[in-house]
Formats: sequence, C-alpha cells, structure tokens
Amino acid sequence: MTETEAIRLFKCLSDKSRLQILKSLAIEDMYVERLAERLGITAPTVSFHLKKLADAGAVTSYKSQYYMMYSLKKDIFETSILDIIQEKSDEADAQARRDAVYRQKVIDAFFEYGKLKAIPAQRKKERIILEVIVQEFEYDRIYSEREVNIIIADFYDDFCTIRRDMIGEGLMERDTRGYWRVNP
Amino acid sequence: MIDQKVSGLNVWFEEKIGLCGQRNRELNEDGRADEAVFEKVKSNIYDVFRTVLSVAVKTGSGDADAVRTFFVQRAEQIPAGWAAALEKAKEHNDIARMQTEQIKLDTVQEIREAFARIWEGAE
Repeated sequence: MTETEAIRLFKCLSDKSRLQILKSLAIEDMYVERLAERLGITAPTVSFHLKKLADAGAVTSYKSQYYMMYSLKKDIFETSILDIIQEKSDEADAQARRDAVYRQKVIDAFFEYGKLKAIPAQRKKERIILEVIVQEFEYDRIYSEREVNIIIADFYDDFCTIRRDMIGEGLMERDTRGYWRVNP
Repeated sequence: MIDQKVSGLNVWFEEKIGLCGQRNRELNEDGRADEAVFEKVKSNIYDVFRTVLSVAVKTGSGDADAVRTFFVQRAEQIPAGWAAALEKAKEHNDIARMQTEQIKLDTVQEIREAFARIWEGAE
C-alpha cells in the first residue's frame, strides 16, 4: 500500500457511518437497501459512503441476481499498521535531500579549513561532526589509543572528548586490543 | 394577511435552518462529517429561499399574487441547474455529486410544498 493509498484509506475510515458499513459487511455481503435498513440511514447516503469505501479500496461489489452486492476487501484489513508505516515513503527522496542539506550546513558551520571549531552542544549536530571525523578510520583495523588520539588531534585538540563521544555514539568500539571503527 | 403568510414561512425557514444546524453539530460530534455536510447543504438551500421570499415580498409591494408568482417562478428556475448537474453526475457515476444535487432538489421540493401549505392554505 502506497503512502497516498494509506492516507486515503485512513481518511475514509474516520467516519462512523462508514465504519458501521464495514462492520456490517464483515458479517456478510449486503446490498445498499439492506445496509440502509440496518444502519438507519438513507439508501443514497449508503451509496455515497460505499463509493468512498470502494475508492479507498476497502470494499468491492459484484452482481447477484437483481442486486449489486458489496463485500469487504479483507486483504486490505489484514495489512498491519506497522507494515504501512514501514513502507518506503513517497517522501523518502525529498527527506533524504533535506537531510543532506542540513548535514552540509552543520559541517560548514563547525569545520574551518578541515579543523573543528567547537564541539556542538546539540547531540544531533555533534553526531554529524563525529561521523565526519570517523571517516578517517579504516574498517576492520584495530587502532591503538595513541593512533586514535593522533588522528582526532588533526581535527580538534580535545581528542579525549571526541574519542569518548565516538564510542558513546556507537561509531567506534574498544576492548583490550584497542579501538576499531564500527561497520554500519 | 400577507404579513401573516410571510411570517409563517419565515418561522418555518427558521425552524428548518435551526434543525439543520443542530443535526450538523450532532453528526459532527458523532464522527459523521460527510452527513454533517449534507445538513449544511440543506440549510443553505433553506437560506437561499428565505432570501428569495424576502426579495419577492419587496418586489411584490403588498400584492400577494405578485409575491406568490415571484416565489413559485424562482422555485422552478433556480433548481433547473441542479437537475442538469444531477443528470451529468449520473452520467459520470459521480456518487458524491449525485448525493449533493439530490439533497438540493429534495429540499427545494419540500420548500415548494411548505409554501403551498402555508401561503395558499392548502393544509
């Protein structure tokens, strides 16, 4: 289900009459007049709601003798809300572009000629500058603490804070052997 | 006599508009927003014809027949476009538009009947 389809479905469901229609159709397939009788609303109003539900992909119809029968599209309702949330957003590319612009803005603000001017107070911004510094470390290589300090010192004098924060942010790990860059 | 008829119709319009407003609020509170809109549509039609009545009274200058003719003519002319819109909506299976146009036509029919009853004493 695309994001647009999900929005249309949720909008459609946020109406008590339509929800009542779906509840009735969950019991059995019904025609317009039967639904109108059950729910105490006029047949044209039921048709109006059924059209909206059909457009949202929630119901389907078929002919049975003289009647147009409506039934619930069960597969739509078997989709979990988590599945819908985890679906790739139509907005994902735009979000990624906005993130990249923001990231570059932070880098430009805190780095000058390759040197870090100050450690950002905001965690989100500090994470960005730490991600820049950690790129100087190779994957699958163990560094001694001295090597780590030297590399960080090229960016900022307070290498102890940067080193500790890179561990804290999960960008690097350490044990008795030394430090290494965490694979993403 | 004419004042009594106009007053009777205005009371009827006020009651209808008031009822629509009440139904609109109740339906909105009950989470039935689209049906609440239908009540608003009805209310607007009552309001349109309440205005038509006041114009009819003004142009009729105390002549009851002139007022009646003006109102009845407008009650035929104004919905002509709605009937055409309903047919067009049916052609395109536009259920939402069909519903709105049908409500407008049903309401104007109710107004015609109320006018006949109150103005012409058909009750």
